[in-house]
This record gives sequence, structure tokens and C-alpha cells, in this order.
Amino acid sequence: MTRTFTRYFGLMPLLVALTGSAMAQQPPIKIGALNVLSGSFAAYGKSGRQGAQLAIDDINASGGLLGRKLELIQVDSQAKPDVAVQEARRLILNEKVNFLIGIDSSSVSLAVAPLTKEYKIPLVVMHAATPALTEQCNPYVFRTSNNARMDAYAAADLAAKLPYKRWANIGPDYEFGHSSWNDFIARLKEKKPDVEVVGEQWPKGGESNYTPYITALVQQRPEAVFSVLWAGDLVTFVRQANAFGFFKQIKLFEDPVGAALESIGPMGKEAPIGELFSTRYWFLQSQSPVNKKFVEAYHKKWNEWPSYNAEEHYAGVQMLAAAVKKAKALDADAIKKAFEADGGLTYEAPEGKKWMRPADHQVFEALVWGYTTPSNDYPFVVLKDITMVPEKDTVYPTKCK
Amino acid sequence: MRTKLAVAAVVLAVFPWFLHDYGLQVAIQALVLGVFAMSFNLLFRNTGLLSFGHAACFGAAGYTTALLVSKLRWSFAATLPLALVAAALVALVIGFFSVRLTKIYFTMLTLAFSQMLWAVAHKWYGFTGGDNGITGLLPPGLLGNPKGLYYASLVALVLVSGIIYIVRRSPAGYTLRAVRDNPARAEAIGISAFEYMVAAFVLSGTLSGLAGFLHVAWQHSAFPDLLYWTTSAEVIIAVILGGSAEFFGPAIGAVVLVVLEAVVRSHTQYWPLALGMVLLAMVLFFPSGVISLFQRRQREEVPRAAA
Repeated sequence: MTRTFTRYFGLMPLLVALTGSAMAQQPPIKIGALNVLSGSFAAYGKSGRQGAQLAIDDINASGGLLGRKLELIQVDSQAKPDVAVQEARRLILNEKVNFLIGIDSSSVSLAVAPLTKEYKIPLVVMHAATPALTEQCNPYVFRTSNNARMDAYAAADLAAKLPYKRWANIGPDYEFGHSSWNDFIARLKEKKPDVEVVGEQWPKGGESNYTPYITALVQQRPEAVFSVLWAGDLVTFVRQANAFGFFKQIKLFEDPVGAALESIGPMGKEAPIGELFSTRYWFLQSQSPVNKKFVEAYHKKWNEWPSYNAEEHYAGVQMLAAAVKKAKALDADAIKKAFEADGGLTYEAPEGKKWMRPADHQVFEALVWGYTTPSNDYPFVVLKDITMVPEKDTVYPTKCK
Repeated sequence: MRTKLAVAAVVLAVFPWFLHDYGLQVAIQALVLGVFAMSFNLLFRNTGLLSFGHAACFGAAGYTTALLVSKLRWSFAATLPLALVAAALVALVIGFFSVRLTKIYFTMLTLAFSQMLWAVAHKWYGFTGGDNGITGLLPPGLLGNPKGLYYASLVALVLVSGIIYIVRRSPAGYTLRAVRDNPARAEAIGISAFEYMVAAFVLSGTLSGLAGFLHVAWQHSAFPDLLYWTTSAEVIIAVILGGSAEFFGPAIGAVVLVVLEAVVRSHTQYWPLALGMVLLAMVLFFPSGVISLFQRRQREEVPRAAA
């Protein structure tokens, strides 16, 4: 009896050592990220990738998730839905990723979303902004960044407090441009019925000559121009508008990502001063320790300041990790429950609180608006007189249950 | 030749049972592009007309299926006839106006037509969903199952190849090549070059529509990119890779292109660079396609056997 006892229990340390090493050798949790890494939006994909990588390094440094390390597999969506679907299938079937994240383009997000049901794999969208994505009530699609409707409503709430009555629009001629302007002006007219629309300009995405649009706007004499031009389009527009003295006569109201470092960086000294620019995250805004730590770590690792897309990807990965911790599992249904439970997952991000609405899996958060100002400390304009539009002003009803 | 075909048929028929899930997806993609490339080459090989507008037929069929399924709740397979009719109509209109022109002018006009269709799909939000496309088109039954879709695509490839084979050997095929090689003489002996070329364009476009239908069944979505010039370019690249002179050249080119892309992409993000280099090498060193690699050896073997 004693002999068997000692024999078995003598084996215990060996057994523990064995299982211990098995734990260490457990395969990593794989996260497949689809971002734009080529073409004119490549700067956004790069900052998104850097933000996600920093979050994964942080999590791995503190022991990983469920005893496993995280691994990021990054692919280029080229902002083309067909390419993205092929790459997403490769990530799911060949790389056996546990989650899909990222996605910068609206059409790509809509194309990839149905795969989540087909393969039962959660997708966390961190940039693409079409409201249609979270209106589909897809059980395994989550968005941890704003959508264009929230941005437009927040912009309208702010615009209603400004003295301008004569408004015009210049936006890229695709869904994002049109739906943003329609949402914005409808909400603004509700709040301020005496608003007048004097003109709409629709240059195509990737336009290189804005001259006809700028001269038309100047002739229509609006007091303020609403615009969702972004990325290279915004940079080109601003450079050409400068030449026409546009900003001397008209206030530019740049929603929702004008103050992206990917845009104001390339503008440099050509950026207009005193215009109202919005962004989803401004790295100098929050004085919270979470933000200070994030900005410092990001700058140390990548030798750049974190743009909104970097922060959104960092926060998105952290929020997904929080859901995994809560679920103690990786399967799609457990993750869904973890995101939805207790009135929706909340997370204290560098930019502030993020709350996920359980019904449609849309995160709500505050938005930053400020006036562009020259800076001695940075090679780009910074925001001053910042207004934070609180997240409650961006909430709109959903049909999802 | 016959034994070779039989071997190829058997290999292709049992292939899915040896593939993992991702390999099967790549195989379907290769077959669909193969159908498209064969259809494209029907026009190119027999008339010498280089169309840069075949995306219009491909996409018209794809969008017809997507719209019927999403708006009118048609069952997926039932949309096939109308998808083919749509592709044929688009081909008729483009062909009617374009085949009067030759060379670069023909190519540019077909490009213009297809870009016009693209613009419609891209801008008409109320109908096509614009750049947000039409998504969530999960086909039920056979077409929704990867193995089923593989066999459906294989049957399509066999069917299209059969039609092209018959056309090539028919009097109409000889007439087309006569028009291609000497239009003046063909007209002089009373052949209406215009009618024959329009007919070839329509048949080629209709069969491209079959590929468009399968593509939507595979991707579960339709986007304006289906109609964009890059789709036309892709099929031309497949034909260049495989060699247009050989009967199955385009299909082989499609397989090479798709497999190469899948392999390169899983190692690097620089697929377009790799594609550029491969194309450069092909055009410079193997202008008649990858298939010529095998043929040269064959030709060398023949005299040796005779001697």
C-alpha cells in the first residue's frame, strides 16, 4: 500500500513538470488582421498594424491569454473586397486563426462579415465606418470604433452650437461621403431649422484636381463647409484650397478623421489654421495614466506618435482580449456572450471609456473636435480649444435585438 | 491526346477528396477563372480581337444573380438562365459597336463600355448598393457546399471547352479565322465579317457570364470590382501565362496564376511585384505561355523517335 502510494505520488513532480511544459508549448492564439498595406491608404494600415502589435506585445508580456501567447498574422486587403475575402478565407482555413480583426474599408468590412457565420469566427472591426455593418445584426461581428452615423450626428450637435447658417458640402463620391452628409445635414436641420444648404460638391475618391470644386464652393459663398474628405484626398484638397484663399472666407468643418496624423502629417506647414477638425482620438487630449503610458510605449516602439487608427487598433485588441478573459474560451458564441453580458463590455481605453451596445455590437465613445493650431513641438498642426462630444450624443436607436 | 484528357479528367474528378479546405477554395477559384479565360480566348484566338471589356459580361451575369437573389429572393441556381441572358445582351451591345473597329480602337471601346457599366454599379446606391456591394448571398444546397461548387465549376469548364471545341471545328470557326487572317479576302468571297465577329463576341461574352455566376456563388457577394477593368486584365494575364494558341492554354494559365498567387501571398505582401516579374519573364522568354515549356520538349522528342 505505502509502496503504491509512494510510487504514484513520487510520479507527481514529473507529471506536473510534463503538464507544465505542455502548457508552455500550447499553440498561440492566432489573430488575423486585414489592413490596407498598399496604395493610397497604406499609412492607415501601417498605424493600425503597429497599434495592434503593441497591444499583443503588452498582453504577451503579462502572460498571454488563457495561458497562451498571442500571435498577429497581418495581411494586405488592398482595400478590395474580393482580395480581402480570399485573404480572410486563407487566414481562417490555412492559418487557422481564432479571430479576424482590423479592416479599414467599408466595402471590405461588408464583404468579410458573412464569413463569420459561415466559419463561426468572430470579427472585430476597428476602423471601417459604414453604419450598414452593425445594422446587419450579425452575431459574430463587433465594431470597437465609431461608425460614420455616430460621427455625423456628433458633428451636427456641435455645428448646431456654432453661428453658421449657410452650409455646403464637399465629400468623396461614394457611400461614406453621401451617407455622412445626409446624416449630418438632417440632424443639423432638426436642431437648427434655419440652416440653409447652398451647395454640394462630389469629387471622386482619389481626385487629383479639386480646382473646379473649390471655385464652385467659393462662388456659392457658404459660411461653413462640411467635409468628410480624408487621407490623401484631404491633403490634396487643402493644398489646392490654400492657393484659392479658400480658408480666408470659409470655415472648414472636417468630420470625422481630419485630424488623423496620416493626413495632417503630410500636410505639415500647409495645414490650414483655425479650422475645426475632428478625430476619433487625439494623443495629446487625455491626461489619464492609461493614455500617457500608451503614447509613451507607442512612441518608444515605433518612433512615431500614435494616430487615431493606431489607438483604435490597440484598444480594439485590448477589448477583444478582455472578452476572451471573460469568456475563458475562444469559440464565437462564448466571445459573443462575453461582449454582450452585463449590459455590454466596457473598456477604459487611452482615449476614454468604450462601451459596446449588446444589441448591435457597436461601440460608443466620445469624439474629439478642436481648432487647428501651429505647434513648435510637433512637425504638424495640433488641436486646441478641444470639445469632447460625449458618447451619449452619438447614440442612435438600433433595430437589432 | 485522348488518354491525356482522360487522365486529366480522372485527376480533376477525385482531386477535392485529397485537398484541405483552403486548397479546395483555391481550386474553385482556379476553375472559375479557367472558365472565364477559356471563354475570353474563344474571341481572342478565333478573331484576333483583344477585348478589354469582358469584365462587363462577367460582372453583368454576377450582378444579375446577386440582384435576383437579394431583391426578389430567387433561388440561386434559378438565376443562371437570366444571368447568361444579361451577359449575352451586354456582349451584343458592346460587340455591335466595337467589332467595326480594329486593334487598339476596338480594345479602347470595349474598355470604355465596361467602365461605364462599372460606374453604374458603383454609383447607383438604391439599386446595386454602390461600392458597398451586395453581400450575404449564401447559395443553398450543392452550390453552397465547397465540394459541390467545385464539381459545378468543373462541369462548367468541360461544357465551355466542349462548346469552344465544336465552334473551332465548325465551318463558322473556319470562317472566323479566315476573317481574322484576311478580312478583305473574306469579304470579297461574300462573308459578312461583321456578323460573324458579333456572334463570336456574344458567345464569348455569354460563356464569360457563366464564370461570373460561379464567381458570385463562390464569393457570396457582388462588388463593382467585378466590372472593373482589373477583372478584364486578370483574364488577359491568365491567357498570356497559359498561352492563347494552345486549346487548354487559358485554363492552365488560370491555374498557374491562382496557385501562384495563393502561394506568394502566404509568404509575402508583395504579390503584385511577384506577378509583374513573372509576367515580364513570360513575355520575354516564353511568349507562347507556360504550355510551351512542355511542348518544346515534345517537339524534340518527335524527330528523335522518327530517327
